[in-house]
Amino acid sequence: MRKNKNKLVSTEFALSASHEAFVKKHMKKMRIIRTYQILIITLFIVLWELATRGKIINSFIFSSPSRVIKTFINMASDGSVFYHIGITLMETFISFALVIIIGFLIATLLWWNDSIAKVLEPYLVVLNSLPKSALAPVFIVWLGNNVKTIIVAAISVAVFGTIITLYTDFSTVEEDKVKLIRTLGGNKKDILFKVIIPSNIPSLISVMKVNIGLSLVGVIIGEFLAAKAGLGYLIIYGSQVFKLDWVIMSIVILCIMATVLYQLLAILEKKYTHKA
Amino acid sequence: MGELLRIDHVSYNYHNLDSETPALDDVSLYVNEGEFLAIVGPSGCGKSTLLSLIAGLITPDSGDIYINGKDIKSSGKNIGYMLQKDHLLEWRSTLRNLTLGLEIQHKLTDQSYMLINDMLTTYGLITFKNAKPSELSGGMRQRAALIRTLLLEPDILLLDEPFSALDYQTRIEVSDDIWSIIRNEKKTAILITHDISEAVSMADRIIVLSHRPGTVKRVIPIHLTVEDKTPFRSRSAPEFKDYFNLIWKELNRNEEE
Repeated sequence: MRKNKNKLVSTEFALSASHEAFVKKHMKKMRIIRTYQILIITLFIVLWELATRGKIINSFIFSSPSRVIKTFINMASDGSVFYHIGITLMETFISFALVIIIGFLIATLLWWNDSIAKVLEPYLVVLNSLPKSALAPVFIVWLGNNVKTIIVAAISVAVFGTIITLYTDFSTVEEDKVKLIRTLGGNKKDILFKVIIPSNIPSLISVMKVNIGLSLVGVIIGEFLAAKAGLGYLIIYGSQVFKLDWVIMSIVILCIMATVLYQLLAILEKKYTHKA
Repeated sequence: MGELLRIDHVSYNYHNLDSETPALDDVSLYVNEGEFLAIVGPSGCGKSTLLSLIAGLITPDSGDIYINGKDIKSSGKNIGYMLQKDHLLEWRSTLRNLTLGLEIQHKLTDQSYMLINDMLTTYGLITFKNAKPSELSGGMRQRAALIRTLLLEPDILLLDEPFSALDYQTRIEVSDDIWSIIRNEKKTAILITHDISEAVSMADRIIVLSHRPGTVKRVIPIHLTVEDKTPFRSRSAPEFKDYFNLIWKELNRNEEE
């Protein structure tokens, strides 16, 4: 969509009245959409604040925008909020990196050896559809109440889907491209490095886009159960001691964090597709 | 001009769990050095299978293939194969697409870059050296694909309907281009096509294959009265339409059987 907009802007100069009208109409529509988007969030915040002030809802249970901001300022001044954000971010990045590396290596192995792929297929399907939160308690028993458990839990959430997606993409590369490498005298290694991997960079990036979110989900699940710090810990601890301000603030921060991480990968994707 | 390639009583079947499909049945033919051979036949008659066999991508169920009298596996001869589409890799520049085969065979040297530059200049692609394949026209892409194949210095060129993906006008131009490049480089070529005019205008000899399973139905040497032969000029040779009709009849006779 962004692309479309650019196109319109760049041709805007030289053009007929009807085209100009079309562009104007388009721009107007975009402005209206943006206005409504901002309106919804503003309205939500304002109503929330007013409802708590007017005692329509209990601010002790529902918190309120002003309390969230106050809590944030308090926790920012002693640095504790950044500590929790940092822990969650670090765990997310480690899990994300491991998911991509493990997923990529196993997908490559499955592509390389069709028999292994066939043998493992049912296990992958089952593991992928299994709700991974069910595994988290098992990880605690096995690995202890620590960061290891959180990272393993996060990896378990994202890795099976990654393997399946990448393997499928690897094996659906145009057969004639593979034939081309063979007619040029190439072997399986050449097919992998000259065609399969380079043609799947876009699919790798889209897998990354999905996985950054999934890793965050996995980390939060892990932190619910086995953490002494991090936003997930703050949410679960806050709800237990009825500090709903902590809970809501952490959720808001998670919203922002998820958006920023996703946008980072969207930028990477854009950069790549521009280059290509 | 001696015999370069001989295919001797070759048969090949495709298998799946339910059945077996015979693709080629007892095919024998030869190609002389420097010759341009065209193979025509109805679709699904095993034309592409024949090329895959020659290229060594698959092995015949029975029969043998020789190059210069030696079995194809041990001949150590290079076979160049041009597929239906150019398959230039979009993530590589034109230049890096051309070097693909050399990279794979570990033959890329400074000298090859000089050779590539010469060929790019000769065949009008030098200004597109660093362009992405998507910036090239259909004809330029086919030429690039041919140069990619020629850089490996093949003894025989296999052309698997290399023009079928192009629109009619480009097709005529590109056949002229490709044909003169092949003549220029003095290569032996086998062209597979279902386009009779294309076969008659380009080939020295035409082999007509039957319906599946493919067998050699007829061998037709082509002699056209034309000065400075190019595929385009060949089309206006007086004998052109006789050859066309002959092959047309031969193909239709196949289908009635």
